[in-house]
Amino acid sequence: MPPAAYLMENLSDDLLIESYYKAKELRLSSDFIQLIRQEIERRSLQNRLIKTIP
Amino acid sequence: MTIQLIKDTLLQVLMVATPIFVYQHVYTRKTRCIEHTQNRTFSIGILCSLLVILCMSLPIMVKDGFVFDFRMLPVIIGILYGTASSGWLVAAIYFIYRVTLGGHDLAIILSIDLLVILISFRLVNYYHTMRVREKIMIAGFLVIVSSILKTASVTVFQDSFYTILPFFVILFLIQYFTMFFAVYTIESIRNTEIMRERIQQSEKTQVVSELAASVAHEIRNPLTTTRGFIQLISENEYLPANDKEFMNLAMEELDRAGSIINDYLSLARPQEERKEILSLKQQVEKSINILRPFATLHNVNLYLTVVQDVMVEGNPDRFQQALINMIKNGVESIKEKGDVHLTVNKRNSKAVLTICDTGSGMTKEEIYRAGSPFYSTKEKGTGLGLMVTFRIIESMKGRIHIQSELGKGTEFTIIIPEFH
Repeated sequence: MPPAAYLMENLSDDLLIESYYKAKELRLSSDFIQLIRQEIERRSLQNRLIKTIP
Repeated sequence: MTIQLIKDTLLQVLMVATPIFVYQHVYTRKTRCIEHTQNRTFSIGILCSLLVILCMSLPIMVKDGFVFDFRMLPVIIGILYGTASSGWLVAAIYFIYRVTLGGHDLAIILSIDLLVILISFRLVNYYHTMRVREKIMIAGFLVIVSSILKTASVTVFQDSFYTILPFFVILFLIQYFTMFFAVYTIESIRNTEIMRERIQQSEKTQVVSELAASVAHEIRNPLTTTRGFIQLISENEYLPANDKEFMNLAMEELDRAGSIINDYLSLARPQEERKEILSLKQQVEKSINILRPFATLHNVNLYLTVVQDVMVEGNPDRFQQALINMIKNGVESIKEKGDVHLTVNKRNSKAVLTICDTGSGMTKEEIYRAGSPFYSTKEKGTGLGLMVTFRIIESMKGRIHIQSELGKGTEFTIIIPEFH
């Protein structure tokens, strides 16, 4: 699989994380959630995610 | 004297046999191009005419003034492997030269030869439908018959006939084997060429489907991202109703793009999905139900006749994909109003499904190219639908047969082995 979310480069870190939560809350496509997650990890932001939310 | 005999015979054999390798050079160049086909058969004509002249100029001196040569070989080969014009050219050159050489019994010899030549011309079309073994026998038979008849008619009333006979028998045999060798080599060359083309074709298909797969993968991600964010927006409760509808439309189109990509991806996907036992009748009914609204929109009626239901083995989703594809093609080929008739039957423990439309039909070229990648007669066609369909039916060990007449319609016949 080629590097996933290089298209999300223009999204600010805050907005990216907010999208992640929104997507999970609204139970959007798991492929989509996966893509956002990959971008979060690519930017090394995963520690900003609250660990208790499943 | 025997040494001279051997030399002469060897010379005849070599003169006839070696130019076959020239034939190869001529045959393998651009066999598809029509111009070159005509050039090719014309050069066969010239080549064979030259050989005839050579054979007759350097004949085998058998004994007591009897003379023999292999001239009928290039004549027969020129007729069987050339076109009508090249065949007649060789025949004409042969007759002219023979007449100029003169000699006894000219009339008998020429009439026998003419007979053999005419028989060869009659056989040409049938000849090319035969297998190699049969071709060898026919060509050999022609050459032997012409030699025996000629020699018999000339020598049988002479005294030295019985002393000459063994020589002639040996020469006839050598001639037969030379013909055997000639036909065999020519057919091998042809076969090699056909194989080479087939390999080229399949390599092309390989490359195309690999490319298709990687392109599809690349596109999937931007699609998923776009759809995801649009869905995010549309879930905003404060969004005005119109905007929400626009978002929904946008998502539908993205989904459509996604399913087109799935078609492309399925080309490269290794076929390892689960196989089930399917009722052909049920599968066809299902696909008809799916396509009925589409057909009604196009003013097309769908009819199903089940003569006998058959069980087949295959993946239900893939099979649906194939059926829907073919029926959809049928519907789309109908310009204004029409019907698509489907029949389900069983013949010789094989399931037979026919899909018959009253649409615009296909030309021979279109039939030949159906199923080739990226070939489409639709304005918005991907060119891959039928190829995927063929693959699916193939993976079920089935075959598809297409019959079509321009202006009348097309009939697809799908034959799949029954599951026991």
